[in-house]
This record gives sequence, structure tokens and C-alpha cells, in this order.
Amino acid sequence: MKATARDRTPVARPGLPGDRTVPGTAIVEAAGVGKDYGSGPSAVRALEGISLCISPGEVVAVMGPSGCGKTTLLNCLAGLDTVTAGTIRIAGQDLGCLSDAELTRFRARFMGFVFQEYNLLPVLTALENVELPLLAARVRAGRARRLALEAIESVGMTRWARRRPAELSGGQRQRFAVARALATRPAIVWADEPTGALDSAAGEEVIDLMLRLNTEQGLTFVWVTHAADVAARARRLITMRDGRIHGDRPVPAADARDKMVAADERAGHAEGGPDVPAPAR
Amino acid sequence: MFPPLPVSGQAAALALVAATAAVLLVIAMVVVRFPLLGRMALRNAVRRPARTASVVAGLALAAVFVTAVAGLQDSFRASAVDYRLSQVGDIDEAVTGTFTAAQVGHALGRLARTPGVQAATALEMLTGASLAPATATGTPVSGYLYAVPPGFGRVYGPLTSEDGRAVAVAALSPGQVLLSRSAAARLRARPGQPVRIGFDQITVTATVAAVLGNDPVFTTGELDQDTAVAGIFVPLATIEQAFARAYHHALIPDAIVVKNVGRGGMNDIGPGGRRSQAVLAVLQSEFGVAPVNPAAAHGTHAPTYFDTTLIHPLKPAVVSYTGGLSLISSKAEYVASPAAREANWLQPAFTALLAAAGALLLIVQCLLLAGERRAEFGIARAQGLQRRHVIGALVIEGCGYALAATAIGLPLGAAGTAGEVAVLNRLPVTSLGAGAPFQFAPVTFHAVLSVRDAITAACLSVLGAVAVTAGAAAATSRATIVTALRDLDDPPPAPARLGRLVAALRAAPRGADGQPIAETPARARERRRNSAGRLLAELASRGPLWLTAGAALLAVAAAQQAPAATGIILTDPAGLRILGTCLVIAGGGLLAARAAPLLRLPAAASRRLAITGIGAAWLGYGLHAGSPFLRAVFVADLNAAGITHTGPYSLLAILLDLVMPLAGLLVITIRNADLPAALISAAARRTPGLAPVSRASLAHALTYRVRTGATITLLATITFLVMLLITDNAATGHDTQGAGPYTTILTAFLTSYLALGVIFGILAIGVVTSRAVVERRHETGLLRAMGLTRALVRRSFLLEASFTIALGLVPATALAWWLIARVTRLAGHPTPFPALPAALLLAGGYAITMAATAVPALAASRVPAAEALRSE
Repeated sequence: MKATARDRTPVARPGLPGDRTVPGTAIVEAAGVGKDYGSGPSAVRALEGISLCISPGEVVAVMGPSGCGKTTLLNCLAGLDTVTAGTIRIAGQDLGCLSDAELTRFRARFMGFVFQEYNLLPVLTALENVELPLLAARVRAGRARRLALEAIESVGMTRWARRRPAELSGGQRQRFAVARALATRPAIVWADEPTGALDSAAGEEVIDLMLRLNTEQGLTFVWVTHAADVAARARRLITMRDGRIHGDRPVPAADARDKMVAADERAGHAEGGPDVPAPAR
Repeated sequence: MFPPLPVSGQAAALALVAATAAVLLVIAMVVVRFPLLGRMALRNAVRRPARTASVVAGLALAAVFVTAVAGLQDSFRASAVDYRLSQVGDIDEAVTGTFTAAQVGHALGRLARTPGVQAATALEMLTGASLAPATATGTPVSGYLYAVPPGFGRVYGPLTSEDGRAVAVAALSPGQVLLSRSAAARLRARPGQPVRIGFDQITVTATVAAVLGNDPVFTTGELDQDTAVAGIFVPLATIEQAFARAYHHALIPDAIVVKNVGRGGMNDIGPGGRRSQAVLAVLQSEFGVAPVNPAAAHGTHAPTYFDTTLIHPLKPAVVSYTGGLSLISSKAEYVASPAAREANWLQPAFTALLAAAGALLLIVQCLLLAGERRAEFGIARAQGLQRRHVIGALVIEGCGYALAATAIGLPLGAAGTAGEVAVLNRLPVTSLGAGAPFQFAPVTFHAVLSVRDAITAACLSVLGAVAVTAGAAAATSRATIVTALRDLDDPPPAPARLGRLVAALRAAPRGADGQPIAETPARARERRRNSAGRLLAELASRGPLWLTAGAALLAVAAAQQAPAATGIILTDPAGLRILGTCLVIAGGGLLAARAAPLLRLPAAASRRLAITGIGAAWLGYGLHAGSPFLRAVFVADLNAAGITHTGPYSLLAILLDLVMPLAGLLVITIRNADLPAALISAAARRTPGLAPVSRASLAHALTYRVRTGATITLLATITFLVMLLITDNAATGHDTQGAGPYTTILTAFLTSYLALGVIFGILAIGVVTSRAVVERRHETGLLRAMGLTRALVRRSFLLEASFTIALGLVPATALAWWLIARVTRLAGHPTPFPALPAALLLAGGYAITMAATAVPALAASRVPAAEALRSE
């Protein structure tokens, strides 16, 4: 059973200050966002003066060289990390107003996540991993199982649902990670290097899958990637450099896209490595 | 039947059971409500069986100690109670004093009409009687003469001879007596032999009809103090006649004994002791005095004096009273033997320290467990699980481990108790001399673990593990999701100004536009909670918190010394004073570190100086404050050393006297561990087989200071205690030889007790070091990928383990030796150094711990580099 548009509509949470959810307006609004790691003379500025808006149904790729702050931006926009300056609103809700527990509930209700390293819990089966965010969102066990199976079906992985992550290939794991992100029918799905750990064929499949879900269900996707070919499949491309937004443009249609990919690859943007300077252990 | 417990003990046990049940119920409800958490916990437990086994083994060891401590106390209590019941027979209450015939007659008449009384009789009891063989000369044995009526057996119950035959007082002819077991043993008298009995300037010669199998007593003092009274049972008519012949007036009994309705033993006290209470109320109204209270100061006394009337509530009050029960009071020459003093004072302290070591191991295990789950926490939190959910998942897992460990530890602890009791039963009973009116009782200890204490030990083990797991999980769950997912350490919080923290308690912070930042009520509560926590942490790290707490304790201790002025009564001002001083030193040191920038010292150097200074001050103060206690315990001949004050010392004071110098030394050692590490690194760099790992091997130990510190503390505590005992025994070896088997057994008891601690410690260190190797698979892969051979990887782990072990063993050994050297110098003995035992202990401990590290290190080094690198 496919999710209806009604199911996917973010529901305003009454009683939260700054709540001004208006259907059809921007789902992500960031204004003057800054992020520092550490303090004093050893502080590292990871983000500075980031302002952007993302509308519902968009597929946005955030691209840039290693260390430019892509993943930090995603973590801050998704409420996984705190910001040092500025405000972030998701579906009209100011994340800075919320307590830790409220923010967790909000994430569970409105957002889904896909990580480069899948981040499936190894002790749970694939199905149980997909169920996890539903149960966290206080969905009843029976309904959670049904929704999880639907999400798994939508990514075509029903046959492998009872297996543990260790028994699956990288592509299969990432498909389950996508299913997990979709299970709660979020308003937006954040994907951090979704194809980074996959071979090109598997990566292509995962991207096709997300684009299909965008088309069929109207889901909003934000991908962080350093792969130009992945970024070229998005509808909008935001490029970053040194913690700032360097460019923000729509991605052209398929014929022009190939040229853009070639140009980006020549520019040498496709580099590996961590984005966030690691604090001293 | 086990005696009823004091109400406070029952209430505490019930509260513990209720708390455990509540915790288990909450955990069960979480599992039912969120079955996925239960499945995560269960699968994590079975995922790595070796790791699970090591956690359970560590927790089980802690449970063994808790159970053994409880079991030993139960055994003493139950053994004492059984012994007293065997002495007092079926008598439940007694009254002694100087009575008139009318008083005795009236009391017996009233007792006969009292519903709860089954039988009562009057007898004559003379505490200053002497007993001697009629045919030999020599020092007579001092004993108690009981002139009993023919119906005495109806009150006391059947008297039995040493060979188990029933003996009736009514069957005694005028010239016959019965001797108690102690009287016969001290007199070496057998049935049929004539004996001469002296009392009140009267001498009677009689024949021993039988030797009883016990030492009957009917009064509180003799019963409470576990004495073995040499008793002589004579028909009342015989003594009355002798008395009439000597003094020409009738003998009036000075004791009335009562048996309540019931089957005998503790059954007579009735439900909840109400029958005894009713009879005591009758006696109180008859004689106008309150029953003796064994818990009151000087409540009971032996020998019984008869110039005032005393009501003796034998059951349950005195039979069950174990407030003054000493471990070996009947078996130690307390002043003469340092071994006895060690056993008497140090055994509880050692127990407490070993239990603390167990708790430390528990904390280390739980921290390791929580650290292992950190990435899992991040994943689950990112998927929408609240902190309480991820904490719950780990608590469910920890609870499972605790239940398994308790199931293993409880029977092992009971077995340990049986072993301890078996050793104690080998101790010979001390003789107080033939002239003494009574001797120490030959109490045979039997191993008992009461249901209440078994449940208490189980509850403590489970609750302790759950609490520590929850604490570790809560601390781990505070990591941000991003750092948890990437397995990075959280950056240290920026230093906060106290004023800003106080302001944050009151109002929301303001944004760049100067307006208060909007927040939900939950966010506001969270902000206040976090600010309060930060404020408390800042006050602690800067010193004022410890200064205030220390000053408060010192004030309370001072108030205790002048109770009339304040009315505050505390039991242990000495311990509070030591603890208060320690906290003041800590607070002062930390405050001084804040002031160090005024002297233009770098912040790191001032912090190092301050912490080292605190350690040095603790060491110095501990040596000063603990010196009298250590001298009183370890000096062989107190009189020769001029030591007059030998206690009493409270457990807290003893613990602090032992712990303070060690804690000070450990603070200095752990804070400055980087200095010997630098030396070792420099030396290793010049060694071809170690040069590549010269720095990497020690960096881990220096980075994770909490874990390293806990390991060093665990090892040092146990080493210190063992070395203290070994060195002292070497110093007082002549005393041990002189005292014979008595002191030897006591020393063996303490040594075996500590041997248990050594085994425990080595296993604990093994668990910790092997876990440290296992959890660093990724690092191992990194080293291998960089070109280090398997042998170098192994050497890296072994060098790290050697460093940690050395930091635990060396300072603890040196301190123990130095303390005993001070004491022996004072006593005029040569300074000992038990080279062989110390070398064996150190080498053995080192070898076993290294083996515990080497095995997983070997396995880790064999894992292919690529596989190890993937294991992150």
C-alpha cells in the first residue's frame, strides 16, 4: 500500500513556539547558520553565514570538496548537531526552541536519515531496523510492523527482511537504510553520502530508488555527496567551499547534465575524506 | 529456627527487596512496552560470548564478596544464637535478686495463674562457688552453684549427659551433684568421683552423678557474653540443709525461672514475641523493675549480682542480641598478639576495601560496556529513540548480566563462607585461667546464609549493577549523535563563568538581537537542569564544593565532641574529622590551582602542581592521622613500645587510616604517570625491538586516564593490603612462632582472606586489560597497516599492560613496606623486608596479569589488517 499525500503532510505540533507551518511553503529554512568546533584559540569554524530554503518535493544535492562543511551542514539542518549561530526551521518549527526530548520526537516525526555507512544496528534484523523509528514515534507494534513491511516493499527488499545486516551486501543494506528513512513517512529525508560505500551499480540503484520515491510520493530529499554523477541526478545543486555556500542552482535536464558531470569531474571535486575536523581523542 | 531480626534490619531488607522488585518491574515493563529494546539487549549479550562471559565473571566476583561478607556475619549470629539456646534450655524469663519468702511465694502463685506461663520454679544461684576434687590438692575451679528443686526439669526441659542420656535432678540423692561440661573439663572430673564444693564458708563433699553435655545459664550477662560457666547442680534440699546447719535459718531462693507455654526453644515467645512480652509485663508489675535491656550501655553484666532485682528477658531479647558479638572475642589474645589485633580490626576493613574493589571493577566493566555501545546509541538516537530508551536498552542488558552473575556468585559466596567458618573453627579457645569464674565459650561456628541476607546480597548485587550501568549509560548517552556515530570523543565543554551559569538558571539566553531566545517549557526546564549541573561541576572542579562539604563535616565532628551544647549525637567523630580534612585539602588544592595564574604559571603546570599537592597532603595527613592506629595494630609488644591507647576505632576511621596514605600516593602517581611514561618511551626508542611502538603503546593508557586510574587503584589497593600483612608478619615473626598454632591460624585466616582478594584482583585486572585489547581491533588493524609486525603489536599491548601493572604494584608495595618499617622502628625491631614473599607476589601477579593481556593480544595481532580496520 502506498502512502497517501495526506499521510506525508507534516503535522504542526501545537504548543511549540515559532510554529508557523504553512503547507506549500519552505520545508527547510536556515538563516545565518554558523558552527564552531572547540572554543578559544583552538576553535575551528566549520560553517559560516549559511542561509537557504528548501521547498517540499525538492531533491537537493549539497556538494563540495572534503572538509568544506557539507556533512556538518546536514547534521545541523537535521538537528543532529547544535549550531553556534543562526536559526533553522523545519516545517516552520525553530529547532533551537526545543528540548532534547522534543527535538528527538520532532526528528522521528518529520525526518528520515540515510548514512554512508548504513548505520543499521547489527543485532537487529533488517525488518526490526526499519521498525525502530516507528516504535520510537510511538506507533503501535502491529501498525509499525505493517508500515515497516510496506517501506521494505517499496524498496523491493521484502525477500531479505528477516536477515541481519551482516548477512546483506552493501547495496542491500543501503536499500534497507532508505526503507528505514521512509518508514515514518517523513517530510524530508537527509542522506549523507548515500552511495559512498557502494559500487557504481548499487549506487545507481539507490539513487534511482530515491528519485522514484520523490516522484511517486513527493518526498523531499537532501543528499550530501562529493560525487558529481550523484549530484547531477538531483533537481537542485548547492555547492559549498570553506564552510560557506558557494553556489546554488537548478540542475539542468538529462542532456545538459552529462556535460555538467564531465565539467565537475574535470574540476576535481570528487575527493574522499572526512568533512568534519575530528576533535582530539 | 532462625531468631527474629531487629525491626530496623527487617525494614531495611524489605526496603531493599521492594526497591529491587520495583526496578525489575520497571525494566520488565520497558521490555513489554518496547520489546525491541529487550531483543537488542538479548542479542548483544549472545553476540560476543567471550565478552559476555568476562562481564558476568567480573560481576559474579563482586557478588561473591557481598555474599561472603553477609554469610560470615550470619554464621556468627546463628552460631551464637544456637549456642545460647543450648545453654538456656526452655527457660524464657528469669528474675534474680534478694527476696523474701513471701515475695517468692507470691510471685510463683501469680505466675501459676498467668495464662502464658507453663511452669515456673525458684532456685538458689551462687556465683562465687569453688569446686575441687575431694582427694587432691590444688587451685579450685571457680564456678556457679545451682541449687535446684526436683521439678526443675519441667522448666528447663530435659537435662542430658555428655553421652546423650536423660538426667533428672529429682533422681539425685542428697550426696550427688551434676557438673556442667566446662566444670568437668576444667576439673577433669568423671562420674563417680567425689568433689568438694565450697560456698559461703560452707564446704560440702559430693559425688559426681553425671556430666552434662552443655553449660546451662539462666541470666542475661552470662548468656549475652557467650561465656562457658562452670556449673554445679545440687538438689535444693541438700543446700538448704547445709545452710540450716551453718546459719540456723532457712535458705530463701534468689532466682525464679519461667517457661512459657509452647514447644520449647524460640517457639515459647509466641507470635511476634507477644507471649514473652505478656509474661515480662507480669514480672515487671510484680517486682517493680523494668527488664534488662542488652542494647543499653552496661545493660548486662556477668557475674550476676543479687543486691538489686533484675528481670532477665532471655528470649528473644538476649538470645538474639548480637550487638556486642565480636568475630573472635573468645578466640584471640587480643592485647598479646598482633595477629589477633589484625584479625579483629583489619578483617572488617579488608572486607570493606575488597568490596570497594569489587564496586570499582563493576564501574570499570559498566563503563567499558557503555563505551562499546556508544555508536549503537548514536544510531538509535538518530532514528528517534530518546535518551531514556537507549539507557533502558543498556540497563536491560546490564540487568541480565547482573541476574546471571548473582545466580553464580551467591552459591560461590556461600561456599566461601563455609571455608572461612571452617578455618575459624580450627582456632583453639583461649583459657582465662583456672581461677576465673567463667571461660570463653567453645562456640562451634557453622556456616549459615539466612534467606534474608541471601536475598539482600542478591538485591545489592543486582541493584548495584543496574545503578552503575544506568549511570554509565546516562553518561555515554550524553554524547552528541554525531560524535557517537563517528566514535569520536566529545570535545571538552568550554569553561563557563559562574555568573553566566547562575544567570542561565534564571532566564533564557539572549540572541544577537538582544531578545530572549524563544523556548518551550521543556527546553526551559532542560536549560535550568543543565545549568545547575554545570554549576555544581564547576564548583567541584574549582574547589569550593569540597571546601564547604569538608568544613561541614569538621563542624559536625566538632559538635559531636560537645554533645551537651548541640545535642548532635554521631557515632564516629574521628572518621568524620579525617574525611572532612581530606575534603578541605582537596578543595584548597583546587582553589590554589585557580590562583596559580597569578604566579604566571602555565595552566597545565599549575593544575599538575595542585593535584600533586593534594596527593602529597593526603599522604602526609593520612600517615599522621593513621599512625596511632597502625602502631596499635602492628606493634608486637604494646607495653614495650609504650603504647597505651589501643582503641576502640570505628570502621570508618580504620578505613580512612588505611586508605588515605594510599589514596594520596595514587593521586600523585596517576597525575604524574606521563613522567615515567616519557622515560619508558625514551628507553624503548633506543631498543630495536620496541622502537616503533615506543610512543603508541603508552599513549592509550595516558589518554584514557579514568580507566587507567581505576585499574591502577584496583591493583594497588589489593597489593597494599597483602604487602602490609606479609611485611608485618615478617617483622613479628618471632611473635608468631612464640604464640604457636593460635596466632599461626589467625594469620593464615587473614592471609587466605587476602589471597581471595589477590585472586579477585588479578582476575579483575585480567578482565580489564583483555577488554582493552579486544575493543581496540581497529587500532590494531591501523598499526598492522602501517607496517608493524604481529610481534610488535603484541609487544605494544604488553608494554602498555606492564606500565599499568607497575604503576599499581610498585607504589603500593613501597608504601606498605615503609609503613611497617616505621612501626617496627618504633618497637625497636629491625626493619624487615620480606623479599621472597614480596617477590613471589609481585612476580605472580605480574605474570598472571600479563598472561591475561597476552592471550587476547596474540589473537588481536593475528586478525588480518583489512578485517581489523573494517571492525570500526
